[in-house]
Amino acid sequence: MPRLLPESCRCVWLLALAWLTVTPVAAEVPEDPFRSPMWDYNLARYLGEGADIRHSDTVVLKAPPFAEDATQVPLTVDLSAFPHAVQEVIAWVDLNPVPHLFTLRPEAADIRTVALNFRIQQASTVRAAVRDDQDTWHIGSVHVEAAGGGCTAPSATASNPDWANSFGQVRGALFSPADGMAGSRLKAQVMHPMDSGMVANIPRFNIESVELRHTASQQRLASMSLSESASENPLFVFDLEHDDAPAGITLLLRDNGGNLIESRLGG
Amino acid sequence: MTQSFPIGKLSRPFALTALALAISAQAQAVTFDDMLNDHLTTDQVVTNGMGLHGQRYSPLTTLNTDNVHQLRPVWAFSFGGEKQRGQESQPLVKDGVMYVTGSYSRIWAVDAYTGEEIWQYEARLPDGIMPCCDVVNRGAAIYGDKVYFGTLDARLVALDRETGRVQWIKRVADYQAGHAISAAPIVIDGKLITGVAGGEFGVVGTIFAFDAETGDELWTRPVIEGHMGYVYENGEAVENGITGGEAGLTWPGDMWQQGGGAPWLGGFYDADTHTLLIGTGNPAPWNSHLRPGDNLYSSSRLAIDPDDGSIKWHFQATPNDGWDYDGVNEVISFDYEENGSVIKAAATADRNGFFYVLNRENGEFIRGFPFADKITWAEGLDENGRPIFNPAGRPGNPADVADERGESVQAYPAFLGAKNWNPMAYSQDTGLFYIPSNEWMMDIWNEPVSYRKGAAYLGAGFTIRPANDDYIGVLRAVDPRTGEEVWRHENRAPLWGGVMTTAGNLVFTGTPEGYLKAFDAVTGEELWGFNTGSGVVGTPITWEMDGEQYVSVVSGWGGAVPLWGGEVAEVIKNFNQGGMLWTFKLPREYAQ
Repeated sequence: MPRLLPESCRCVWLLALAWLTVTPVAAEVPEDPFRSPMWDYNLARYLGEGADIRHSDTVVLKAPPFAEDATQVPLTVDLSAFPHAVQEVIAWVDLNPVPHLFTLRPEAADIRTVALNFRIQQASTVRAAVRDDQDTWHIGSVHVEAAGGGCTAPSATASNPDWANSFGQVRGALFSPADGMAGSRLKAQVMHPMDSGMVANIPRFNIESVELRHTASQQRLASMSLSESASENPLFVFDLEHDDAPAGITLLLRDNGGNLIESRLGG
Repeated sequence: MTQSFPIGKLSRPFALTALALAISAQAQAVTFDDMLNDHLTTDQVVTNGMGLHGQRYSPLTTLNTDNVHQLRPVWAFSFGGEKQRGQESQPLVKDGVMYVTGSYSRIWAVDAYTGEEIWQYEARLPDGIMPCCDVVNRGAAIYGDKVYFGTLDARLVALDRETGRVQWIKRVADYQAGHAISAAPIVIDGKLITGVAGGEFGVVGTIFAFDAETGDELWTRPVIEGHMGYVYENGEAVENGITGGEAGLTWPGDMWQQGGGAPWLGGFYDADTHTLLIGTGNPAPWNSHLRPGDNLYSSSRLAIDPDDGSIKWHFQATPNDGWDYDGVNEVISFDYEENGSVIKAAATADRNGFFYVLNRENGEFIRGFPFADKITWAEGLDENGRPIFNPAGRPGNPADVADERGESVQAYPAFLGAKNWNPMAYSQDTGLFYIPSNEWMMDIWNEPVSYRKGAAYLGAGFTIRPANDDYIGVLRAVDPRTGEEVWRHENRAPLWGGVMTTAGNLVFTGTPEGYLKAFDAVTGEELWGFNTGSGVVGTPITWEMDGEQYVSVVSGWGGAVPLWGGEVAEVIKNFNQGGMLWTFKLPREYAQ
């Protein structure tokens, strides 16, 4: 243990130097135009204390103004106008019991759009925070009115005695953009109850991780983690820019029950 | 990570709190050596059976006949939910954490000091599961950093012991054909081995082995004559011999193809011979007139090589079984001295009412005797242990009569068996087996039947009745050398829980009336009892933490009796369901 002492001292010195020389970013959290009571709390929880945060109109969230079906609310995060390289996208629903919806990390692909349907428990602001290559978070928001109850209503699957027959089925396709850009649009729906664990006597049973792999090279294009706010039978849309799009994409999903669902699209 | 800090730590010594926290941060891997020594070790229970041989004998003497009246509950843990059905599990304990399974394929990790939940996992079951005999689970296996258990939709799940996260999940067999897993799997030197249930649906009983770390399939062994066994090499199935040599030797026509024999209770391990000892279920269908012949290897005990699944020897208790006398009951390895030499024996108490002592090195029959009061289907055993059938004890052939239904007979014991799944215990001190048994009979008749996937394949009708007015259950102490019943304790309701014995001269078992009871192992005197609030059909364990001896058992009435018990309903109809894990200890000040 004594050997560690000089090193840890040096670290303290380095930290002190850094603090002296680099102008500290006074991580001033901007005001929330939607005045959500969960604004500061969720920012700290999902982006960390002291994160560099700003509102951005290049992070465009599209959702219906009123959730006709509180268990299935479509959300599109359109990043086509986002001027930086996307490092990470975190989406949450402010007033849901488990607000987190997804965290998406592009790897060998650039993400231009991601869409996923979600549950809403009561009228709430929905957020997407996009981290750029300077570790600055750009936040887009949209407010959705709702009658509510989407997170604590039993899934339709739960009342279907034949659910196991369609469980894990994937319907989807890969589309090429009409403008001839390098990349593809992946659209897939997975049959999964996505039980949130908030309904009595129905334990949590949901997809926790999603991976997109280049089918030929098995190179990982993007990875995504999902939480309880994601809807039953989730419908994913990704607009991706990546090399060798015609080879197709493999979608890999894993739920908390250990089930692995694999589907090849395109190629 | 849902690991929680125990709130009740004020009630325990500071040193223990620190220890528990240190351990929860870094659970020790369970090794095969831990399992091989489980019957000698007192501070953990890492195998189903409290030892791989399944003797359920603890060398602990802290708790004994002099102080057992001071045994008292220290905590209880509810399984929760509406899923309060039969609880037939045996808990495991490692590093201050208890692992226990419950009805509907659920498992929990619980702080063994406080009873606080660390994590829980509930398998998501399809609605179409087909367990014949309640939605029970009989326990888990732990090995390395994982805990394993089987589900009612015939899958094996491997979970991280610390977090409860699924490491892998494997479909073992098709639940839609009638397969299910209710038994505790066993890990033998890194191989996770399980059987499957489903004999009532005409499945072919099969034993499966997987790599415990990865879940990769290693071998399969069908237990019915004529079916090919496989070993897996680099993911490819390689033929490893037809069970029984070839089809049709002891089965007529193609009846072997849906021959049943499900090894639904799992097995135990004998380290001396490196053998998995496992029993097989009833042949399908129940109507034995459709399958004249011995119907190997149904209603048998098998000695299996755990490395590749090949069969070393077999012993069939009930050839051409016509009474649903599954041969699945546990085979317990034990040594005894006779004429100055040590006999490497194995004992089993069969559903059919006979107790068998076998040579576990070669399967040879040493002796057998009835342990049930009345047996009508056989007049006795011959010198090889084969039953001498009583022709009048077999239900009549429906083909012999104009009616659809063959002649009905009264048969002792009933199909639920003179002893069912609930494991007996062997005391190395008294040399006695403590058998949880039942005295009941049945009316049984045969009917024509044909096979259809996923449908009951019985060809028989039946109803159970108690053999006596005032008791059904009998806890028996039996000498395996003489067949003598040294003592018995009668119980109004049928006994459906497992037995444990200790070097403190104690025998523990539960009753459907709700009691966990302790008896004097030598005299059978009832010394202690505690009402857990619902029937006890699980199997108790004992271990020590910080010098104090603990006893745990699950409580929750259910299992096959309320579903299949016929006239027994009169006795049991007011028993309430439950789902609770109870833990008792002898406080330090009462230990001598």
